[in-house]
Amino acid sequence: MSDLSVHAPAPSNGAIQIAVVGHTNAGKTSLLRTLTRRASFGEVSDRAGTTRHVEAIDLRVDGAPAVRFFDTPGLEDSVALWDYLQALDAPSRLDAVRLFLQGPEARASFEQEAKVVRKMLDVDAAFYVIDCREPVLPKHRCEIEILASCARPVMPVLNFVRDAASREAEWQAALAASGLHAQARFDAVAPFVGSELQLYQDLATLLPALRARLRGIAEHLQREAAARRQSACRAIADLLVRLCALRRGVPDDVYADEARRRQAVHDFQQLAFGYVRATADALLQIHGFRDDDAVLAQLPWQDGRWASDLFHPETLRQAGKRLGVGAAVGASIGVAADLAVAGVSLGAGAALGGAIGGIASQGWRQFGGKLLNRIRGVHELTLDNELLFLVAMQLLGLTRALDQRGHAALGTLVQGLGGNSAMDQPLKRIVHLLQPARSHPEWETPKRDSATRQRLVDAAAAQLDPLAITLAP
Amino acid sequence: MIGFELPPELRWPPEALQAIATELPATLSCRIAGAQRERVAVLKALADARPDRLLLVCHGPSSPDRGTARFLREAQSHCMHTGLLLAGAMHDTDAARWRDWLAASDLGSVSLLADADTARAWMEATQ
Repeated sequence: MSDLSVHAPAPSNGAIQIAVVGHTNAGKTSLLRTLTRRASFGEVSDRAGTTRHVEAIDLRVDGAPAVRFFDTPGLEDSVALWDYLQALDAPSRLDAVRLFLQGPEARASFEQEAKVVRKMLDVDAAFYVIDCREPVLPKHRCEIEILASCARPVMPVLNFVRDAASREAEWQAALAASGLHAQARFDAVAPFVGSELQLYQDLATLLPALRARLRGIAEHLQREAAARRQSACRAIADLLVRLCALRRGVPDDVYADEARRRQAVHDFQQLAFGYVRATADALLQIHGFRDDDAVLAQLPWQDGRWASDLFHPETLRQAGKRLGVGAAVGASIGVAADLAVAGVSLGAGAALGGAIGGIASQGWRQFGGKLLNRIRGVHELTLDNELLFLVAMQLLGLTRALDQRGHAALGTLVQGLGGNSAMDQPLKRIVHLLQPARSHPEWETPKRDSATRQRLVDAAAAQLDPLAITLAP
Repeated sequence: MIGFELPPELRWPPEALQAIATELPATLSCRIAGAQRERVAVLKALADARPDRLLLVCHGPSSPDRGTARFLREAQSHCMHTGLLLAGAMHDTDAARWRDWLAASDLGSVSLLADADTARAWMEATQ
C-alpha cells in the first residue's frame, strides 16, 4: 500500500468519520436511522437504489458531533468496476483507485461507485452493511476487494441476522477469508439488546487510536438510554395517577335512562383513553419517533382498536385475575357485568358492587366520596384497578418495544396481556401505591399540581423503572 | 436459458423448464454465479449462437442492480427476444420491484414472465 498519511481523514470538528457502504438495499439508511435515532433520515424503500448521493448525519454527544456518518449509494456494478480497476496500470491497489477517480469512467458508467470510493478515502473507517439473506456471490467478493483497495479499516455489519433466510455462517466465512475478521451483528430493524454498544466496542478494535473516544460514545448512549427510560416511567406514572384520580358525576336523570347512561360511560372511556393515547404519543417522542411519522399509521391506537381492546371485558377479567382482586370484581354485581361498562365503575350500582368487591380486594377502593355522592343523588364514574394494571403493563411494553425497536421500521408494538407474569406482583404494588389518588379528583390535571401528587408520581415512576429495562434474552 | 446470480441451493434448471433443456438440443442452458470471466464466456457464447430467444432467470428476492442491467443489456444485444423469469422464495412485492427496475433501466423490451410455465410457453412459442 502507498502512503496513507497523504490521505489522512479530513477533520470534521473532531467527529469520527464513518462511511456506511454496501450493496444496494442492504439496509444502510435503515442502520443510520437506528444508530442516530432519526426515523426521518434519508429514504428507505424496497425500490432498487434509493440512495443516490452521499448524505451526512451526525451522532451528537453533549451537543457536539461525535460521529459523522456518511450514507452512500449502493455498490451495484462491482464486478465490472473490479475488473476495470485490475486492468489499470497502477503500482498498488490504492493507486488504481485514485487513478480510477481521476479518469473518465468515474463520471460515466461508474459514477455511483465513484461517489462511494471517493468517500471511502476520506473517512476514518467504513461500516460495510450486508444483507445476510443474500447468497455470497462474486459481486459481493468484488465489493470486498474494492473496499479493501481503499486502505481504510472496514467493519462488516451483518444485517438481518435473525431472519429465517439468514446465511450468516456463509458470510462470516467469506469475510474472514478476505481478512475481515472483526464483524458486527446488528439488525437495523429490530436491534438486539446491547448490539449498539457492541458495535462501538468492535469498532474500537479497528481504530485503537480512537478507543477512548469510542468508549465515551458508548457511555453516552447508555446514559441516554437510562434518561429516556426515566422520562418514559415518569410519563406513565403521571398518567396512572391521573387515571386513578379520574371521576365524572352522572346526574340522576342520565343514570335512569339506559341509552344516556351508556353514552356517559362511553364518553368516560373515551376521555380516559385520550389520556392513555397522549401518553403513548409522549413515549414515542421520548424515543425519537415522530407521532406524525407515516410508519406510525399502522400502530394500533390510530384506528380505535386499542381502545376497544383495553376496555374489553375479557381482557379486563384476565387482568383482574392477574391482579388478584378476586374473581368477582363487578362480574356478579349487576351494572359492572354489563359489557358496555367494562373497566369502569358506575354510580350507585357500582358503589354497592364496589363495597363487595372492595372487601374481596382487601379494601382497595375508597368509598367515602362515592357513598356521599350517592346520598346526594349523584352517581360517579371511576376507572377500575384492572384498567390501571392493564394500562401500566401495555405502556411498559410499549416503552420496552421502543427501546428495542430500530428507527427503520415499526410494526405492531402494543402487546396484549401475555406472558411475563413476573411483572404481576410489582404492578400490583404500583396499583396499590396509586390508591390515594382516588380521593383526589383534582389530581386528574397536573396543572393543579401539589407536592403530594408529585411525590406519588415520583414513587410510582421509581417502581416502574426496573420494569422498563429491556433484558438481553 | 441462463441462470444469473442464483443462490447455490436453487435447482437448475427450474423444474418446469427441465424439459426444454433436455428435449430441445438447440437450447443452451447454463447458470453463472456472476464472476467476470463467466459473464464474458456466456456473452461470447450468445454472440456466437445469436439465439432467437434468451430467458434470463434471476433471484427474485434479491434487489436488481446495475451490474445485472449491464449484463442483461449486453446479452440482449445478441438475441431477438429477451425474457426474465424470477426464481426463489418470492415476496409479494418482488415482481413489481423488478418490473419497475426494468422500466427505469431502459430494459422495457424485456418480457417479465410471471412463472416457469409462462416462461416455458414463451420459450416454445417459436420452436
